[in-house]
Amino acid sequence: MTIKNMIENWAQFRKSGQVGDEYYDHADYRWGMVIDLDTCIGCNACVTACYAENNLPVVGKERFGRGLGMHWIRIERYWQTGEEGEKKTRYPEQGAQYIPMMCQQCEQAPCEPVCPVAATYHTPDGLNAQVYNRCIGSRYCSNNCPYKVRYFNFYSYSETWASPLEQQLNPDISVRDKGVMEKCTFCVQRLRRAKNDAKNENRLVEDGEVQTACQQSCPTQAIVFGNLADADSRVSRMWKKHNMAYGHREDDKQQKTERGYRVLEELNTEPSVIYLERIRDENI
Amino acid sequence: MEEEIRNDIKWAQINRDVLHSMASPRRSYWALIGLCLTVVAIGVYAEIHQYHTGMGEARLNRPQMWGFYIANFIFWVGVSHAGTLLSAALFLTNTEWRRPVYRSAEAMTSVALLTAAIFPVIHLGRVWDFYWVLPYPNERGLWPNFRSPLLWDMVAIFTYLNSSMLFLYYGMIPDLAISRDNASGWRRRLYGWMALGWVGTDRQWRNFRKGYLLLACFLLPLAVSVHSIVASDFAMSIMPGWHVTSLPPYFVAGALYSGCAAIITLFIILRYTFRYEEYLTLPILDKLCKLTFAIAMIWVYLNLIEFSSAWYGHDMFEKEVLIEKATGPYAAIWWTMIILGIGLPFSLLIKWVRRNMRVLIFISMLINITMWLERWMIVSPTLARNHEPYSWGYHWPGWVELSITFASFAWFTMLFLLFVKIFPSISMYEVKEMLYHRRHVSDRLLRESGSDRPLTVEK
Amino acid sequence: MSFDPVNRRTFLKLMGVSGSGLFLTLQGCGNASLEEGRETVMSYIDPEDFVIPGEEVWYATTCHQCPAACGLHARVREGRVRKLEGNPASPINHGRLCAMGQAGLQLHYHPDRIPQPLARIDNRLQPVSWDQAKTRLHKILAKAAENPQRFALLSGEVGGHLEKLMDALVQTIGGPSRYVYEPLSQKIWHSATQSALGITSPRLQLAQAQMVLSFGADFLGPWQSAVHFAAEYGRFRTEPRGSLIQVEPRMSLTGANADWWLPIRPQTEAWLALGLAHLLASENKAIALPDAISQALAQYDIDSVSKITDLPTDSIRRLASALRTRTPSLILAGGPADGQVDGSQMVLASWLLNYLLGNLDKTITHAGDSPFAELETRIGSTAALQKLSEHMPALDTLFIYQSNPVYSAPDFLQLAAGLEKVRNTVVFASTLDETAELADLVIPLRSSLEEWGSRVPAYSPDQGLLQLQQPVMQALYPQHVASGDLLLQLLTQLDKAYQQWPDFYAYVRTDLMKYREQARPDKQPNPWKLPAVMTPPTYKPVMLEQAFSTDQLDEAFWEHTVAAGLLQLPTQQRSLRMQPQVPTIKPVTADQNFPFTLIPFPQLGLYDGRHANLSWLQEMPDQITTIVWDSWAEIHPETAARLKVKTGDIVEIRSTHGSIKVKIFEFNGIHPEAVAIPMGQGHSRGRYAAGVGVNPVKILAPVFERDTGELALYATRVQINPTREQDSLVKLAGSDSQHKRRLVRTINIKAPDFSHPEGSAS
Repeated sequence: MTIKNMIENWAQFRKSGQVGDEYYDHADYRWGMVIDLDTCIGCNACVTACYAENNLPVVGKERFGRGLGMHWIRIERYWQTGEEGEKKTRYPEQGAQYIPMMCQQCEQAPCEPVCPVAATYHTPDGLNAQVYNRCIGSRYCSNNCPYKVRYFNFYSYSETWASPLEQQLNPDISVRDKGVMEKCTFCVQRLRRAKNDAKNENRLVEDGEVQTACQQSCPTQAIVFGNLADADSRVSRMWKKHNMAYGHREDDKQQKTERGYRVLEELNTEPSVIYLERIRDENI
Repeated sequence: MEEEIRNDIKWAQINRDVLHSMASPRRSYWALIGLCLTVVAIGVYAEIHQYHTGMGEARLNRPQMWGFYIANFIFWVGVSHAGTLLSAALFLTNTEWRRPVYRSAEAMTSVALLTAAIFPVIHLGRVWDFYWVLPYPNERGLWPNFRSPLLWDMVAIFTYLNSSMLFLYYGMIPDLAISRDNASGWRRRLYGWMALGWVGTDRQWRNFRKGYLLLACFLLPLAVSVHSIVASDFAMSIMPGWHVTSLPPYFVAGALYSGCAAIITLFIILRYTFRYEEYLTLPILDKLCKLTFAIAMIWVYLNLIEFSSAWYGHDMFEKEVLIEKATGPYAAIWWTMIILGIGLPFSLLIKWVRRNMRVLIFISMLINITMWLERWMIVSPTLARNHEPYSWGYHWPGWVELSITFASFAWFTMLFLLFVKIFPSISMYEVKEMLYHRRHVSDRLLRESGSDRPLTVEK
Repeated sequence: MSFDPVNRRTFLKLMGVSGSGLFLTLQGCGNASLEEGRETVMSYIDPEDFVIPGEEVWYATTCHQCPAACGLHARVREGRVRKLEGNPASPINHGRLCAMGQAGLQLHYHPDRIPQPLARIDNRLQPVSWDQAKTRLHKILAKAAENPQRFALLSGEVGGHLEKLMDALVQTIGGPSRYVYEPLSQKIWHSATQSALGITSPRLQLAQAQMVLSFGADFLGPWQSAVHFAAEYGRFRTEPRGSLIQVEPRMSLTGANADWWLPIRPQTEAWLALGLAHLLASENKAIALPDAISQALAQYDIDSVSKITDLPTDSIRRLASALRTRTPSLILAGGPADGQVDGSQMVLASWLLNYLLGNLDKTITHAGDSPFAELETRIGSTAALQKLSEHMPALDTLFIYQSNPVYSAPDFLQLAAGLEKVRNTVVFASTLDETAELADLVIPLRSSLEEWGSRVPAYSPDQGLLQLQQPVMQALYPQHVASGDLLLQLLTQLDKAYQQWPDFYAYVRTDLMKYREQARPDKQPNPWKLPAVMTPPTYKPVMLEQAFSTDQLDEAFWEHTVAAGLLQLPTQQRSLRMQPQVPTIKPVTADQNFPFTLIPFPQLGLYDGRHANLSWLQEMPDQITTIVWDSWAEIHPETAARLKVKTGDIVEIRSTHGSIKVKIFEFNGIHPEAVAIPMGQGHSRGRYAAGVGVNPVKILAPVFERDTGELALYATRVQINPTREQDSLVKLAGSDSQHKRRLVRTINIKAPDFSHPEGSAS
């Protein structure tokens, strides 16, 4: 450890992961996602797939009731409740409003600057990474996350995998112990594997070669995931089609068919997950 | 004008009274120590339980990731502020009546900081890794995140703790010498070692005064910055109700407010347990009350600023949090805090209240409870009513948090009581100076008025 | 990787040899702490494909979590299955998998799995050795064969070669009695469809429809084939966007995704369907209806339909006009609509509507005639259980295979009491459930991930499909005998002809070989991960020579089929013909003492209760209420206000046949005359299921569908009696409203010519 080292580190800390930062210039990948709320049916397949893929513990009724559930992706279900100017009807005639909510992998992630030990940081391929081993559990990141998608291990949950359930655990990722923050990683272990495979073959990961667990399970294919650095990838084309880009604002919309938006856009967190507006046919 | 301390009190008497306090306090002192030890033991048990089982035992949840521990942290950092204010700020403004009080106030500062520093640590999910926040050399070249307000916090608290302890110790040196000269056994060795060979030469006094002034000048802005930084834990976040620019001054005002109230409480306790009626007199208490009132008004004003900026700022989230505070499940606590926090200081305008110690100790403790609630009401409602409606939830403490909170009060009281037992809790030399100075002035006045009363200086 | 196993195997063998050399050396030096034979090391000598450290292997198999039989790809690492994904080659689920399918892993690794057979000794179930259990089983079977009339076999929907063997067993014994019981039976739909179209399972092409009108059919939920229809729905919403209207008394998952959800008075769906038919028929002269039908329809005029169904006439008119303008459409009926006394008539009415709207051969097509006639899955029914319970007093021996009727049957059948009287009850189950607990002999089963098998899905867009099932890892309890092997052993006892198959694997393989010539060429299994093939240790060419020839073509066909996880044969599609029938429905006479209709609805999760012991699914929030780990009774807030109860209050729900106590949940998406309780909870057995919630099926009244004799699941009338107790419900949602956040943004489309802006998905 030298002073030079410290100064260099310092210079890096000053960087805030600006959009268009040279930090990303040489990155071949920048993972992004599109979720079509018109085809999402709220069936929870993605939720369970995530439990299976990412070694998520089942916390039980009492702890779930206390808000300690560990679902990295959750289906939020809202109703038109008639509160605050919405149309109030006797029955929910337009059904429920579903939105899968997981870590939005923000470009300007509010969780990153506040971690005292830099356990959460931005990878060059656009992921908001969480280093479990470095986390000391100050929980500041979760407080500062506007999407509330960071989950803290309030207990040691390893005993919830009653034998032989523990044999199901995915060996590619760790089981987190108490006192550590965790969250959706875009299935980084799958990305890792795909990138390594591609590297061995001296190529880049192809579009569709790697899927996140939620995407893979989604019965209606509402989730599209891929590499935004590749202009031809499906996810890139969909971003473009809906006039979405980092730095995009709602006012930039050109036409009605551009259904893309970001959740809580006004906070300028620049999520890498965009949603497509839900459609309801009122013409019947 | 009413005198803070009787003019005819002998210097030897001062030494005797103060040194006596270190020898034989009332029996209530030991009862208090015993009580504190018991409560601290319960707190330690709670912490061990939490350490072993997990942070879930603190009844924290998502979204309520922070709770009582952080509220306690702000509260104790806040309490620490009044000590510096009383000693440094009033020293710089040459306020005479600070002299009998400032030692205990400074002690309170250090002790409160020692209490406060515990909380960020036991609040951690992995307590055992707390030192990772420090920028210590390690073979992996890992640094803490200098962008995190928590790191600034850590730096600020440590600086403040060190400086305030240094200030306390530095100002105590002449008194330690007196104690050394009057003590025997381990005390003599301790005081002798700590007095650093003080004999009271002119040169020593001259350097001492320069140094003291320097420290006072350094400490005052530091104190303001410390609580501003604690406030930036919140203000630097993007959470509605936290992300407010007026938060740092609001924190400082709140800190001084609760600190003054704490000083009043300790003042009365000290006066009773150590029989300090001659030194911690009612006129001083009276002035303390007035000071508290003035600071309370600043706090009230900043509250109003906060509400109106939330209200007129037209930030939907900000407004919601304000409405949540006033109408949500925390409303009872919030209104108690607002009503007592604004109403109580006005009682200090009544002279009868300022002179009635039974009433005062009740009011000052109530103010402290109020200010503790204020800290809780900073932390929890914002998290309850965050940006994401699906995650909304509340935090109510369990036995672990409550035990540790009570233990922190006991710990604070215990440390303070130990301090006043071991060290002179009233600055002997400053009280003498105060008397000397006053007598000079009064004698001069007498002479000027043609009186023939001789100059009375006693050794 | 299974396609060039030799090279890598050889390589690894070499590695293994050098590895063991190193190992010996180390032992010689005293560095190794391994004692001979006392510890297990990961040996590189001749490793199986599925235990190469760090290498993932994929096997194709079939999901057994519900009757839909989706294709699976199982990810295996270090010899353990870690994750299940959908098989992209399967036309059922197109590589997708629902929550229940994902949780198949938990069933496989369930801590409650029975480690060894249990036998009733001194009136207590006690563990016995496999040898003892088998002896006992063979004895019971021998006795049963002596008196075939006193033997019966009850199972759930099994399908495939296991079904064939099961039938063979019953036939060999000579008894008349094989009962196939499925709590969420589609029997009514199948039988009515058979009578309308002449086939039981036409292909429903949602994606081709401009509009879908569903009478209670929760096709995105547990109706028929959830993942398949969800995938269809995904395309239905995109190319171009179709509109979904759902009519049902209680909002299902499908209803929650509808453009327009209409609450209908329970038990009156058929009126609406016929009312719409009347409106459409009287205005559309293009399709002529026989006079008898037109006359029969005349009584369903809009005003009386509106009165009966509690839907405004305006809504009915809007429905009719939407149906007229948006063709082709698709009319479905299911769930609460067909679980009625007139359920068959309701389904027929839906076909009549499809007929009137000209949807046949457009959105409803022929799915081909199944080439696997003898392997077809027998559709389970609830009537079977009714018959069994009547038969039970005459029984000496009852085999119950993978079915839990003691839990899932209504109380009025008094099944548990009947079961106690049967002298020998043999239960084949993987965990000790409510039924197994009453057994005299419990034979533990392997999980579906440890067995060979095959299955013709009950609903398939292509009837030429056979889903294959292969073990994806070695059995967790190696002593457990696979169901197929056990059946073969039992059959061999009765009929030596079955000796020709050394095991079930050989049986399946020999049988499938006959399709080799017809099999479609190359079905690409999975574009990004090539699945492997599990070869059982019993598979030895020498042994198999006696059974069948093993020429190379056979081998290639077999490897390919198993790797693909399915076998598809070409089928002939015909055009559909329908003979409209005269609808006959009778009004339900309401008993004023029981003012509410009970809707015991299944969820995509716990299903009929079979998944209640899987913790992932217990902790998965209900899609509508977001409640976890509990039961609740949904009632409309207006009803709640009338009864002076609120969310969290415990009420007693009483029918003529029993009562349950359950918490109230106020919910707008339900008709005020209905009370809905989710199925699946209320178990007394299972570490995650026991003591959670209540089972609404228990209090069902004996009301049966008129044509099929099926239990009318949604026709029980109940009363709600408030108690003074209260309890809290644990749910995920912190808020039901978005509070102006615009997290979910909705475009409301008004333009008539709106087409989906997304166009085709890419």
